[in-house]
Amino acid sequence: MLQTLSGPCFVASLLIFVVGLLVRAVWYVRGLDWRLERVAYAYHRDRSIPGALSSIAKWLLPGGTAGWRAQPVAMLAFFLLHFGAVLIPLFLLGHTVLLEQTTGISLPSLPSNVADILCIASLAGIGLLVLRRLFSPTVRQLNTWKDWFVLLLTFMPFFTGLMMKYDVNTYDTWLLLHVITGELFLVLAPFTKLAHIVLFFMSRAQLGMDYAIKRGGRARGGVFPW
Amino acid sequence: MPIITLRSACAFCCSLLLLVLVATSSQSAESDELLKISFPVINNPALPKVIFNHTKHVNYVDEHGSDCSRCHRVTKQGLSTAAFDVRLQKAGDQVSYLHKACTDCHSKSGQGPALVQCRTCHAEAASHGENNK
Repeated sequence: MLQTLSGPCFVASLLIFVVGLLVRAVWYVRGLDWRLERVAYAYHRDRSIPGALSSIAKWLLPGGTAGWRAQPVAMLAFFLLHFGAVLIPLFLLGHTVLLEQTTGISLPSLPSNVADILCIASLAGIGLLVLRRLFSPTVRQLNTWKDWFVLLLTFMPFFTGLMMKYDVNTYDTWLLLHVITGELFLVLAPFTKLAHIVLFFMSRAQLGMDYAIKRGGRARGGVFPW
Repeated sequence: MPIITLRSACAFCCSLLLLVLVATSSQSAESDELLKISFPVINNPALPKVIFNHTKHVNYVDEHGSDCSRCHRVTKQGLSTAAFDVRLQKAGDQVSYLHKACTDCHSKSGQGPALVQCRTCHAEAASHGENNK
């Protein structure tokens, strides 16, 4: 079963992940109003491109924007989770070996203790986000089962991956759970809020363009000071 | 009385035989030839080195009608000690070559670890083959 899950099933889930997220990105662009948005963004390239890049870059930096600085605890939770969520799937030693063996692409790998720290930080980030969902009144109002499901979907690959290393007696069980939950994450990402993996960049780029062109962008003469 | 003596002798002999059997069976497991994979040489390896159970692999090859050349190449100096053509690979490709060589064969035979099961072979005190079917 592990052979099938880690072979054909993995390739299939990766394809669903990549193609699904690309479709979500295309849908995002198609969903924009051509008169109000697309024509303006294409016409004012000199402002739309720097605006888009600045908006993405600043929101990727901890404390890079007023929005982040206004909510330091939420910011801490987001970044604790996302450093590991981006770096571990791509650069963990086991993952890089599998990637090299299946595709020939060779990526550098994280030292084991750094990966462990990132993983524990991500789990702590998820814990803080759970607390935020429980206790922040504004977030609580918006909670649906889907939000909890997405948190669970994110929690499982980290947790099972860590247990694989520290509970060696049941290594194979944790490994199987890790492969299954990792693939579930990949498969469901395009159909859930996890699509923000690509839609974050789309919406940040769009807002960056919008604020650099319209909404006082012309008078300000450049990118919006997020 | 003679019957009791006979019984005692029988019990004695049987228990002795049992003891020898137990001893030899555990001894045969302990005397499996376990080799720490030493080529390619890796300084500060990220994971523990693989300990290879040579005896189990020899038995498998025997049972499937093959011989040493299934894994070892014949050179002018005799049989190569390293597995397959690992010494012919570029330095940067040797680990990846061994990963492929080991897991391809294990996958075809339907036994033992797949490539995702890193820690089955790279275990702290693994005796390769002991913890696999």
